[in-house]
Amino acid sequence: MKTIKYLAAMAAVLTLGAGVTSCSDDDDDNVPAPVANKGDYHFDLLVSVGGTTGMSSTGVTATLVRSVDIDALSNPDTTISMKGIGADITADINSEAIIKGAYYYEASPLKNTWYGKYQVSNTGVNNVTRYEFATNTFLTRQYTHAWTSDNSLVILGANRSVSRKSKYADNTIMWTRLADSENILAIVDEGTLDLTEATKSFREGGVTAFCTSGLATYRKADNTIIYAFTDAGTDAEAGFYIAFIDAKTMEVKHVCRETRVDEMAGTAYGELQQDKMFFDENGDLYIACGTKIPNAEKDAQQYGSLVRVKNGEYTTDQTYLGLGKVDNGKILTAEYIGNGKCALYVTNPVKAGLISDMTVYDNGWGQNAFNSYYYIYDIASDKFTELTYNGETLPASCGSFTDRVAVFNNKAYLGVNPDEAKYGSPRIYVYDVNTGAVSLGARIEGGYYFNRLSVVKNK
Amino acid sequence: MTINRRIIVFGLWLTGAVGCMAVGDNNKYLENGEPRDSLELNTVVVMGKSRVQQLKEGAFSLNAVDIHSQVNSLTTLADAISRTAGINIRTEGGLGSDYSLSVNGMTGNSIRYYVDGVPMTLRGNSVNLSNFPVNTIDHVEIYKGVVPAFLGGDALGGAINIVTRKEHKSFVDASVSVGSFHTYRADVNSQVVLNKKGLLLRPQFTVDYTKNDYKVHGVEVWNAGVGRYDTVSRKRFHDRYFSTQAQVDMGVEHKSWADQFFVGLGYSVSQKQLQTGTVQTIVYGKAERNSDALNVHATYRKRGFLTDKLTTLLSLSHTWDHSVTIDTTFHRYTWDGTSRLATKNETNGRGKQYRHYKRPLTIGRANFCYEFNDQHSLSLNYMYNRTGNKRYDTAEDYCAKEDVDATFTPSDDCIEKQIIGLNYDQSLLDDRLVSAFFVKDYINHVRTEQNDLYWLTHSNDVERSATKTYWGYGMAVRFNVYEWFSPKFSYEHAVRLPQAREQLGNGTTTYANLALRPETSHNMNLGLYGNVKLAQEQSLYYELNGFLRFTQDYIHLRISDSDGTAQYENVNDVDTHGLEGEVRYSYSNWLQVSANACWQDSKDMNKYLDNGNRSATYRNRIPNKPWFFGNAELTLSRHNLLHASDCLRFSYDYQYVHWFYLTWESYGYLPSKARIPTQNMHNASLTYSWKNERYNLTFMCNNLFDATMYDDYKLQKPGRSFTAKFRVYIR
Repeated sequence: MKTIKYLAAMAAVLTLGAGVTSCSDDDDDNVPAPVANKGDYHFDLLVSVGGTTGMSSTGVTATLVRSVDIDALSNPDTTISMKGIGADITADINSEAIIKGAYYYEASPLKNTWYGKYQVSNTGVNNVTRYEFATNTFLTRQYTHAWTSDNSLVILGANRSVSRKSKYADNTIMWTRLADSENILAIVDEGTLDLTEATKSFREGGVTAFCTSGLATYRKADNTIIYAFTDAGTDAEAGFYIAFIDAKTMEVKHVCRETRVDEMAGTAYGELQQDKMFFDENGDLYIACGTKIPNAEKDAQQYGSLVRVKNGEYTTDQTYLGLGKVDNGKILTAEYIGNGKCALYVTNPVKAGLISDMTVYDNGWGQNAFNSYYYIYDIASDKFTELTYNGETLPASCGSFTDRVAVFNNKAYLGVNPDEAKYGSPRIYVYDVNTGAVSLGARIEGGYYFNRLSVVKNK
Repeated sequence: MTINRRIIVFGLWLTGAVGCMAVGDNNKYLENGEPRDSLELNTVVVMGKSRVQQLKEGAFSLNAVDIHSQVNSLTTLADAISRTAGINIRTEGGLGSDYSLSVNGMTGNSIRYYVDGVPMTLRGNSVNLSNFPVNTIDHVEIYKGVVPAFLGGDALGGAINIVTRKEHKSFVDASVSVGSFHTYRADVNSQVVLNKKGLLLRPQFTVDYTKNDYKVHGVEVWNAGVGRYDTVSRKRFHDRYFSTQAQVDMGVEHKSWADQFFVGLGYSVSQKQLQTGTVQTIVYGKAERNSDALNVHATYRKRGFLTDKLTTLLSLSHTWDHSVTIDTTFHRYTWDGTSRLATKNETNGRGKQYRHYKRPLTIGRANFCYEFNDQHSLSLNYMYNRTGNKRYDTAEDYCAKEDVDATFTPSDDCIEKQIIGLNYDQSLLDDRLVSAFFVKDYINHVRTEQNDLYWLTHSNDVERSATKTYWGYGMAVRFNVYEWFSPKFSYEHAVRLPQAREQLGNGTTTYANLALRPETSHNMNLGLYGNVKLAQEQSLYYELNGFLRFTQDYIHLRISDSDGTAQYENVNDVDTHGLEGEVRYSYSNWLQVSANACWQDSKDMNKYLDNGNRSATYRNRIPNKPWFFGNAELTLSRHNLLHASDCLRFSYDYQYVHWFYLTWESYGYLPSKARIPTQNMHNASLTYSWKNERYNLTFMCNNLFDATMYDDYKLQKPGRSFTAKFRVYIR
């Protein structure tokens, strides 16, 4: 998850005296800092060799991280190389790590049983500290998280054997709270959420089979962890649930159900690598969702939409459903960039000319297809605008399990992973949030799978 | 130089003093292939070349390893082979562990294994170089790159042909050994001549047991008291291995209707606990893999079959191979032996498994060789190889139904290969120019049913039943300019069809890949060798070989560090080139010194990624492969030390592997990249034999300086170990 949450906190401190009050008090990664000292931060670019990350990440033979200055991405004459520089993190951690402040955090890398904190630089990986899991053991990539303060992290995930078909499932959502200080990471407490009981009003017996991770975030205003999850039972109906959890006691305060969409946009990997929901300046939470396209061959063929939980509320706003149109494509990432706008990364193989009908399933939907585009979504007007440069659509990108959007000082940096034969190597485009102007940024050396772009605090 | 043991014994009997050198006339051979010896009683010079030396001087590029002469000081066949030029064996751990052999840069499964020309798999999938009974072996032929058609296989990187001992008298060869890490081994290899009509009975029995409880260093265990991980050394605690093999062959030799006709029955059992995944940090505490195999086989050989000039070899075998992978715990273990509850199994992160794999194997082989005259011959080879793969799971009998891996569905797959080879051999200029030309036709039929984990196995992307044909061809030539200078060249366009294990998985940590394509390669070798007689009792043998491999659809084992699983995949294009050399000096029969080294460079020549973009690893060195390694060996023998028929033999060998990167080396900050360190291993053995090698006692120390040794993925191998072995050989 991007470090903007951290930036927000930093910015709040830095600008308190200046009376800048644009940040909400909700804790989320996605509220950009109005101004931050670019000398204190850098970008990390994560690329893989051999395959892209995600469900089929078994092809990955190496994962590399290259750190560059903030200004480097704005320079169209720069080509960022990985040769002889950058960290090869393959033997230490995965791309699907939480990135916050100056650190990477990951559960059970290399099938270990710890939660680890790492620092990555152009010269390698520094193992800062680790803590052995107690009762609850989380697996790499199979959990979600919420920072309840700068040094308190709650991770959540289903305690479910993957072997169990949902009809047998009898699982729970387990959680563990970790305290994070400079060089110490420690488990403070752990437990399970009583979501079965809390969902009995929605279905007989309540939900007993849960998706792998769900999505979690923290709302500071009422000290609440908002946790979105789906019913993985074979008899489950379309829709998903949102639990409102007391962050202090971890008791479920309230659960609501959203049925206008099939599911939220992420059920398996949380927001470890991809951002799926965000708070705006009002403290309203927006969750990217997906609904199966009518008559489509597979569930994965979806159109996207956004649902909202207003600040202080314990249910979704039924007056709002952003982008509820079939031809919009499937939302892969949703990143708040400020000024009431968010950047959406959307798969649309028809637009890419790969298929003629969104209901047809073939490789046009695949993660290696060049089938995804960037859009700027204006929340107030529900307007969905394709990102262009000099009047032309940005090249389609491949990689469905990627997040190449980072926001810094009112600029959104968007990475395009195009068909290199047509468009050259991957390129950064810089979107000015205030003016809407798009400028060319740096290129990334070709030949890799460009998976992730993050803002990271200098140590 | 390697000396045929029987020559030495004969010389001893004649004079009590032996001097022998491989400087003889290699034209002089007996009809049965044994060297013709020329003895001068005064100086006791034995003129003749051992079978091993003859092979080395053939047209093909190969190593020939005399096992019989060093059987006393061998624990496994893999140990002997790993010390030869250009060979690197990656073992994951101690006795019984999985291994992968590399010949001139071509990895494990592109090498095929044969026993007397018949695929070794007929003895069961659990039989390998680590547990093959060394007492039964005469020598081993290691073909590099270019593989003669008579082996009838689809090897691409090379082939290893284990040639067993052929004796005509009754004998018993038995040995027992005790070693470090609770290792016990026993072998009995015998032959009984039942009557004067030449009925032979050949029983063999082998049993191996080890706990493999050697220490691994630098592992981390949680120190709850202070809330940190401590780096410690810990003994392996779940690596027990038990293996036994029994085989009985019965038949006749030298009959009018058959030079050799044998039928046999074999049975093998293997039980192996699994300690780690593919990386050291993944620790198992309960998972195991067991297997058993029953085989029947028959071999018929006749020179002068139908016509005087036709030699025929026919063999047929069937093996019922059954292996079980047991992974029925939801616990995660650490190196201190403790565990915690988990929600997934140990080996592949799924439900509980008691997974059965029945892989019946049928191998039929026919070889017809027509000799036009002493200079020209033509042979036709046919091999049929069918491997089934029936999978089912009985975990419900051992654990709660809801814990069983519900993603699994039983299936019955089949791989069928037919390989037809035509081989023309000629020998000109009084055997100074020897050449062979061959062509091979490979017919591969694959039928698959399995559909679970389709996103990993690609089962939805392939035809369920498909037959494809491939062609290969090649040649080899050797010209003996002088005794000390003989060049040889060989070339093959080789095809290797995926093995069952590669295409259908190993049942534990290796997933099936049903979309795996055959490997093809253009293999070239250009070599020089020669014998130099330095003095009356001193000789020097040298060999220098350059090799090129242009491989397409290279089959590569890709390890997933994140979960410890693996899968074979095609890397579209890999080029390998390298150079290897060997020097061997011998002084009389008491000193032998040899050294060999190999440099090889394998590069990914795949230009494009799956999405059509350029590949960043194009022209990069393939990771996880040693690219420079070598061996040196010193052997001292002293005969008639205490008695007229005893011998004391001391052997010291040193193995070197240069460090190499764990992942692609061109990317990232090199000093911080994970690497497999340089490895130096020293081994020593002392053998005392008496009564003409009737009794032999050996003490061995492997890894003398207790260095930390690694496999290609940084799994630690055993530290210093001691072994005592007693062998008795009675004729």
